[in-house]
Amino acid sequence: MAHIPDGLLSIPVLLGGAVATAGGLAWAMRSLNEETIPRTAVLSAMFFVSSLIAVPVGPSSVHLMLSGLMGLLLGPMIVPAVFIALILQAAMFGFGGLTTLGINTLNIAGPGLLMGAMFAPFVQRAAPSRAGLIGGFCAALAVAGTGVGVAASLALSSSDYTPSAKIIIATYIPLMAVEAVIAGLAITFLKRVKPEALTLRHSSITPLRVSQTTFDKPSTPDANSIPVDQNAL
Amino acid sequence: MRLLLFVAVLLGFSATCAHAHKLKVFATLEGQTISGYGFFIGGGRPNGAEVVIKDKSARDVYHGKTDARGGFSFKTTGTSDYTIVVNTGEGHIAKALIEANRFSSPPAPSPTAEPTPVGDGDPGSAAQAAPTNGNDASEAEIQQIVEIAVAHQVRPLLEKIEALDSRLRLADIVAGICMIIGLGGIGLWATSRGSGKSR
Repeated sequence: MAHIPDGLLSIPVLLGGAVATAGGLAWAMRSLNEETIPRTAVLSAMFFVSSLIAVPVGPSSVHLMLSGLMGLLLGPMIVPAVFIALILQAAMFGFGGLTTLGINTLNIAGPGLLMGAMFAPFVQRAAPSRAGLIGGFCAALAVAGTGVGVAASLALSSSDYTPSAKIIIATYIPLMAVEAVIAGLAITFLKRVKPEALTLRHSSITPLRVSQTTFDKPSTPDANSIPVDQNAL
Repeated sequence: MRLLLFVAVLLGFSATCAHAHKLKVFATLEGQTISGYGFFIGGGRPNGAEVVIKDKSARDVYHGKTDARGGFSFKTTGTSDYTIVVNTGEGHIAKALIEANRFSSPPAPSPTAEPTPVGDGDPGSAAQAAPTNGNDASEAEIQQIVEIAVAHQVRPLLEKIEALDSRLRLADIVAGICMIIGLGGIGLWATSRGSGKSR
């Protein structure tokens, strides 16, 4: 599903995915700090394992992606989290492929990142149960985004592989529901037990707007960013 | 965070007995019949998925759908490199190749060769269909019968090898998790080193 193997996609689609993922990785490096790294590693490990477990649905099988949840909890760091897990899955199990790493990362992390950025402010403000509902909605939309991305990647590459809308809907809707429930429960739980986990984006992960400000005024010291000393190594 | 780690480890262990994901195609040749099935690593078969068999010149020679067990079967009319493509229609696509050199020397002429009904589960039917003329069997015919019989016997072994090759190993999953944790550690070390120097 989201792990498109080597040898199916056309060069422009592969290149487009690779460039977008490289850009995403470079951008995410700005958010790298002591607090985001362990969180990214844990969620990357969760994604690595959970996307190996798949359940047959009709002619196909689906697996969890947790992209909505990762988008809410990690922000831009969702890109390296998904990228690393996909490299390992490709190398160890042959899931996906090395040439499709870029487009697969884009298809999974892209919607998660977008939906996470869109819904994170609402999740942060809402009460736990309401935050869970919003988180679930966010996760369902992220899965739908991945479905659209995968379908578009295949359709753009070859008309032979254009997926059938009916089958996509039949397989992705149950997945959207399951992802919504998991993300909803996780967000509600975190909101009750460790609400600061969801507000991290405003404290130490540099969100898009802040990074833009930092970019515009390089002289302003940013307490959240890690100074990079080029001569340190 | 500890809870997340716990859940990750829990998922890791449950993965060993759960279904995994990638679609693969097992295809083998018995006489002139290409048969096999699509399967998801760890379990599950693509039911009703599209099967297309192409010859060397990328011409479609067979179009069909997999049966309830993911199976397909096609009697070829010639010798060529056949590519079998199974497509579930939502992004799972897998290919397998049957090379021309696996066909026995000149194939028996079969003017009425038609795709056999999908899901012809009895691999022995190919052997029964082989031409036998009692004592008058020519050397070529005997050779063909022997090849079909050997292919029939070897098939379970090939299936087993394919399954072994495609299984998820707990050691690999744990190695993957440890690799990610290790990368996190390297990242932490690098950032703490960088910030330590600049302070």
